[in-house]
Amino acid sequence: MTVSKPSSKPFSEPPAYVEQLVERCTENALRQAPLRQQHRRLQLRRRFMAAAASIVIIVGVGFTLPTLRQQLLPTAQTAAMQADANALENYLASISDEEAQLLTDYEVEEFVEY
Amino acid sequence: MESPDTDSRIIRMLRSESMKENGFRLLTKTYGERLYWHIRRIVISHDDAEDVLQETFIQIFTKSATFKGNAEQLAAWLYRIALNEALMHLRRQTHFFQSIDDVNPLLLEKLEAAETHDGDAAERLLQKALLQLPTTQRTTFIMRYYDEMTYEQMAAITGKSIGTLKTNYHYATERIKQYIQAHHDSI
Repeated sequence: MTVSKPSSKPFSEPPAYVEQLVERCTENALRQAPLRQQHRRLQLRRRFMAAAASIVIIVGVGFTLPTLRQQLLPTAQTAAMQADANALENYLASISDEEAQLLTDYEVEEFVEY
Repeated sequence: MESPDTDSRIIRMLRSESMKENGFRLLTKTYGERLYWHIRRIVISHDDAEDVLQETFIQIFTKSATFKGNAEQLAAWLYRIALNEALMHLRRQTHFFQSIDDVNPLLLEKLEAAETHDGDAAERLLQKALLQLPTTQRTTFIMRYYDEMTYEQMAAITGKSIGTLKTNYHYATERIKQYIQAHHDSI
């Protein structure tokens, strides 16, 4: 493809100015292009690592959560049952034999409904 | 007029690691000014044109390793990058639901604010008429009228068919004529 000499219409920058601009942009491009490529590679690597880490965390939580639940719940239940058993023993130890007998003989009265 | 030998030489140099930088310098020396004016006519503002030209050069250098074409295709490839960068620059100035054509009023403000003309009132009126057009018609007109490209060259750059480009150009000229007839008293 051949293209004819450029027209500057309708703008009025002098040719020398445009020439300097082109040179400046050329040297900037030579400096920036390798840095851009490096930055892009680094960003891709970071995204890959973040994605990989997310997968590991999700899979890890998926495996660990059921096990954790099993371990934690029995402990809580056992502790509660233990606390109940201790409270009952302490109370029975604090009352006399007659009071204990009353508890044994206690019957719930049936009340007439009005 | 451009020499096919220059384009062949540029391509050979770009494909050589040791000569790549000098090849790029030869490329920008050969095509830089053309690309600048092409971009400037699309984005209007001088500052924006400088930014877009810079980005275009970075893209050209970065992608030169992947250019597989021959000497005849080099210029079209360069203009394609420049056009895409200019259009992307315009799109960045729109909001989420806006079309790229919605930037035209902003471009008109930049045109009126900048001292871009040597006092040619007719040229100013033509620029205002151009900014009434949809971007596809405007860029087609710019390539045909200012860059003096053939339809084949424009098709190679835009990827559009020659028929579509001719239609765009026809509608563009009709609307420009109507605008100038309606506003010629302002000259």
